[in-house]
Amino acid sequence: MSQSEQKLLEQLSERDYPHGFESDIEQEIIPKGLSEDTIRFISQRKNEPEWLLQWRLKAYRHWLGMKEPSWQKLIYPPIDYQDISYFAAPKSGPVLNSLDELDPEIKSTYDRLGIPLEEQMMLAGVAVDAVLDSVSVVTTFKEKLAEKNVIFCSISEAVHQYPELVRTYLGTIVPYTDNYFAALNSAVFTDGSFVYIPPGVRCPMELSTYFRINARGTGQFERTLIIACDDSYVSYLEGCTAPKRDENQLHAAVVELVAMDRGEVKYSTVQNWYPGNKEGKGGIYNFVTKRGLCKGTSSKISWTQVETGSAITWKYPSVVLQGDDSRGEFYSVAMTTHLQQADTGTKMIHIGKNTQSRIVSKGISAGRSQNSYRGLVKIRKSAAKARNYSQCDSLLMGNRCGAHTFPYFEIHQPTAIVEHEATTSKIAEDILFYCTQRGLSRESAIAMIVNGYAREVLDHLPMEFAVEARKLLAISLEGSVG
Amino acid sequence: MSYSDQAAGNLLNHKLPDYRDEDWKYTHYSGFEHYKKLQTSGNPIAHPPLARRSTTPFHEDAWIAVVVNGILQANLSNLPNHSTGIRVAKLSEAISDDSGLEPGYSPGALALAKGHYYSQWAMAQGAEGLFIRVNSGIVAEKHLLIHTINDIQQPQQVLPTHHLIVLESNAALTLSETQEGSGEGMSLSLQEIHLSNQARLEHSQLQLWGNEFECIQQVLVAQQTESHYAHFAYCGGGAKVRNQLTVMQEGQLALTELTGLVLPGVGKHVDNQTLIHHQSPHTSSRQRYRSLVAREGTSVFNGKVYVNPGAQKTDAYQHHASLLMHETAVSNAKPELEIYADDVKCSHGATAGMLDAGEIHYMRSRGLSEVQARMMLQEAFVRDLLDSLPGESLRLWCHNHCSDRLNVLNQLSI
Amino acid sequence: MLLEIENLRASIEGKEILKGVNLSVPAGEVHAIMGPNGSGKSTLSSVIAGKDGYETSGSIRFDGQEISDWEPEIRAREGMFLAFQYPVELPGVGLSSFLRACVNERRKHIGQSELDASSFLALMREKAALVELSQDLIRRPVNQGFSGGEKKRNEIFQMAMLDPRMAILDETDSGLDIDALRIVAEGVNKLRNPQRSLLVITHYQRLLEYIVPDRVHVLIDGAIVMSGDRTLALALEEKGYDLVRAEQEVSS
Repeated sequence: MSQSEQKLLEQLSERDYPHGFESDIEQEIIPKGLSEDTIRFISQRKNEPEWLLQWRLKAYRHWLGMKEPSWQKLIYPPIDYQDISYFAAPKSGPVLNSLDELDPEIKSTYDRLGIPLEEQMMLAGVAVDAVLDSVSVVTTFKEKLAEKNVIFCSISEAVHQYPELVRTYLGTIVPYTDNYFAALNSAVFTDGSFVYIPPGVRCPMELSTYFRINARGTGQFERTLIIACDDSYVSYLEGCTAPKRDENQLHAAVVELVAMDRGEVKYSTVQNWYPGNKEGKGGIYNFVTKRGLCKGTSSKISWTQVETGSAITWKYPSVVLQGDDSRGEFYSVAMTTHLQQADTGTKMIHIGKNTQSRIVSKGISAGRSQNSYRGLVKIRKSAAKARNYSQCDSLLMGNRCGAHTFPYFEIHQPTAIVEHEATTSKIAEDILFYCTQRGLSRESAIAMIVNGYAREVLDHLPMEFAVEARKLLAISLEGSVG
Repeated sequence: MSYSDQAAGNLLNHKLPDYRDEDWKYTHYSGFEHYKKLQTSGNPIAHPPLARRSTTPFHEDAWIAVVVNGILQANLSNLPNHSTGIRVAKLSEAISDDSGLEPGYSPGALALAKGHYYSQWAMAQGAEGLFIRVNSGIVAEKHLLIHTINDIQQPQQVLPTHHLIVLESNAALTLSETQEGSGEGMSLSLQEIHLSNQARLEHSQLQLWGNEFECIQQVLVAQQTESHYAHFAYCGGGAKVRNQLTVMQEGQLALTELTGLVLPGVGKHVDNQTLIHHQSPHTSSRQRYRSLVAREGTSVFNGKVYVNPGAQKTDAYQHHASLLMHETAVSNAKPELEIYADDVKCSHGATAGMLDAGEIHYMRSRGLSEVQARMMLQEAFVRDLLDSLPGESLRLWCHNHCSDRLNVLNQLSI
Repeated sequence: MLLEIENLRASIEGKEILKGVNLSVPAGEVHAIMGPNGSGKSTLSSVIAGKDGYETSGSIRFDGQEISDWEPEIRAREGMFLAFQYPVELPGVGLSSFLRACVNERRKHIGQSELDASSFLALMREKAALVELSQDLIRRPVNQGFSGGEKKRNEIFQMAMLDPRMAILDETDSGLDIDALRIVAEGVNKLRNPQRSLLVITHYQRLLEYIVPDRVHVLIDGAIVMSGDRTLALALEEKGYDLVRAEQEVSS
């Protein structure tokens, strides 16, 4: 390795986290600890109906009997679930309907994150739900969406306004028995987004949620539910950041999607939670359960994720392909540097006939990080003529990191066609020489090559997000150049 | 402490694997506790297996070691004499006369650390088997055939064997095994193989177990600098078969080539697991496995490539393809890469599917019957795999055995 | 002298490839380097362009400056261009964004302002016409899905875009059919001017019928064993390297 590359890789591991500031917002935080009383408090504080409290309590009791999963390729000290505060909210009060009502400090928090709440409202027409710590602080564009009968609000509000819808679907795609973190989330979730697209409606704008963990000593447990009725379409974007802290903070979210006949949900994530410093101190533990159900015939669910943040990422956005002719997609870029660990991938469960799934995963490991793809393609006996194509590529930068691929294929139907390819490589010297010979510095050549490598995935992001994601990948490398 | 005492100690820390163990997720032997009570030691069978020898795929002048229930049958065998530089003996003999067992090559040297539950168990029982050593610089002039026969006296007997194979530096050997057993028994086979610098072993294992017979096998290989290990697995029988092949590439420039052809019977289950551990720079591995799965059959393939930190310039390739012959056939595959070095070239691919209806239609429109068309396409699916096998007689034998078996499986799968 | 090489030695993994090369190329001249396979032609071009991985000694002066210790991108920004024998593919990296970054790096380096999007596009259109490179290819990732001939044309297109002072063409003719060769050579000829020098590395005389050199050097076993005018290239083609070399030895 040349000296300049050595230096680059060192600096790469030291890239700075630009969203690491902390906002001085008046907060209400309950004491640390988890018990049935905590859950009753949260439920009461949110004025929830009895059925929801009972559901939370059932989830909590189930969780008490569960063990934290250990099969994933992640190493972290045991989490003390009693050392977390399960509720933190800005004091300024209830959910607002317009930005004018927002606490200026909160607004400035989002401005500093570069989330153009106003700008997007004006120009792009993206409706935004902003979740700060545990609660949704602002949802924009309500009226415009209401014209089309699209519901986009916080899940707390939906519990009151649309109790039947919430009750019908909540926990049906990810039941609280699903896994340890889903059970915990079901017990203590505080807020999140709710989306309902009525039959025949193509949602007139991108819907977007920005998640931000601000308070110290808290965890974030949001829950999102998206329902796309017959012949509807919605594109939903999610972004996340958190302040720099020495402590590890837990983020255990649940996202449930359901698509009816010919309904389509496109769910995009740019995850940039604080990854911790170069010694691996601090950073978010991102333990997330995301699953979509293609319930109707010819429905479609597509996950696109760009994962650059978090000390630890544990997430497998999945699709259950129940409806005949339904389609599931998973496009992922996961970049890990210094001591980050990512164990991420997808599950595609084919049940209906002629169902199709496509998996494209691009892992990039640098520093001393560990980056694993883990995926399951399951073709049930009922899934005649199902198709799957998977491609998992890993790019290694430096010789102290690891890249791993753990794909599972369970094929119970002979008319299925399943294809999988995986490669692992580093950026070849002759490619770097070609670029530098044309005048690019080694660093910008690497940034350009990495972006090119991720392009197939980035192209699936909505325009505004793609630009942000490209910048994010480049910044991560650019900050490295002295 | 003897290696079998150590293995017995290891067993205390192991529990019987079940579906919750990642490595045994798709294949587990819940009835093993029952089997354990009925272990059989090697009673020579009454009828010599000479008739069967003619069906084996090897040259007339091959050396032959007949092993019945783990015990070498010298009177039925044709072993290399002392002057050849090749020793084939009972494992227990080699241990007691101590002549060939340098410390690094003692029994258990690999399996105590890397053996799974059943291998530890086999060692704890002091399982008998063969000791094979090829002296430094000796290139064996003939093939060595191990003809393994498991002959159970009562149902649910388990028959453990333990072979220890050492090729000293620059030695070369072609070793082929036929493995037979019938009735409701189980073979528990452990092999430890040491390849010194520049040693070369071509190893074929032809599993011809009966329909009720079960098998758990583990082959552990340690490869030193520039050694070459080529392994061919033909899984053409058995009720429930679990083969594990673990190769440790300890020396630089080691080369490993694994080829597998898997044909589980109707309602039967065959699981092949491979682990290639690239521990040194400039090592290479190539793995190609193909499964054809008949009615109610299950094929499992779990192949792992592990690249150590510092094992730069590793070149690893792995491919598994599954052809499902019936709507009730199942294929589970898990091709894994675990990589801790950056200057490496690793790739794997996996496919699963059935024969293309368009191709069958095309062939039928040219006058072939459906069965003929299927057979032809299935044979094409395995042909290039078989064509890469060393040795004309092995190739031919495999083609024939495979065709016959496909013929039967097709009839049963319609 | 635009390029001056003195006693250049280069080895890779302990094996010496260049064994003391001396070469001078004045501004505006076209020099050809010919030699059999394995004589060190490609190593010479790589070393001049600054590729990592070689142990080198001796001197390379570009417009009077010693460049041996320079990173490859600095040499490129100063106006040294290498057209690769085997241009690499850059998956996902769009040709136009790649070239825009390269062109602007060079412009910044020599104190010119960066090109804005519209003037860059105009420049691309103009230069693409030079080698008949279709707009469709410009929208694709660099060299991905390009035919062999298209890759070579793309190299000359990039040369035109980067406007170098010195261009090294490493076996640009290899793998080209006669029509493609003509297009590439005409493109190169249009780029000839009194300030720009070319070093044309080739195995065959064929390319030199189109790009007529001022001098021809013969590289054998890592050293230039003879030099002459273009008739030397014809003699090599006719008699082969061994014979010409033998004659040379006899006459000297």
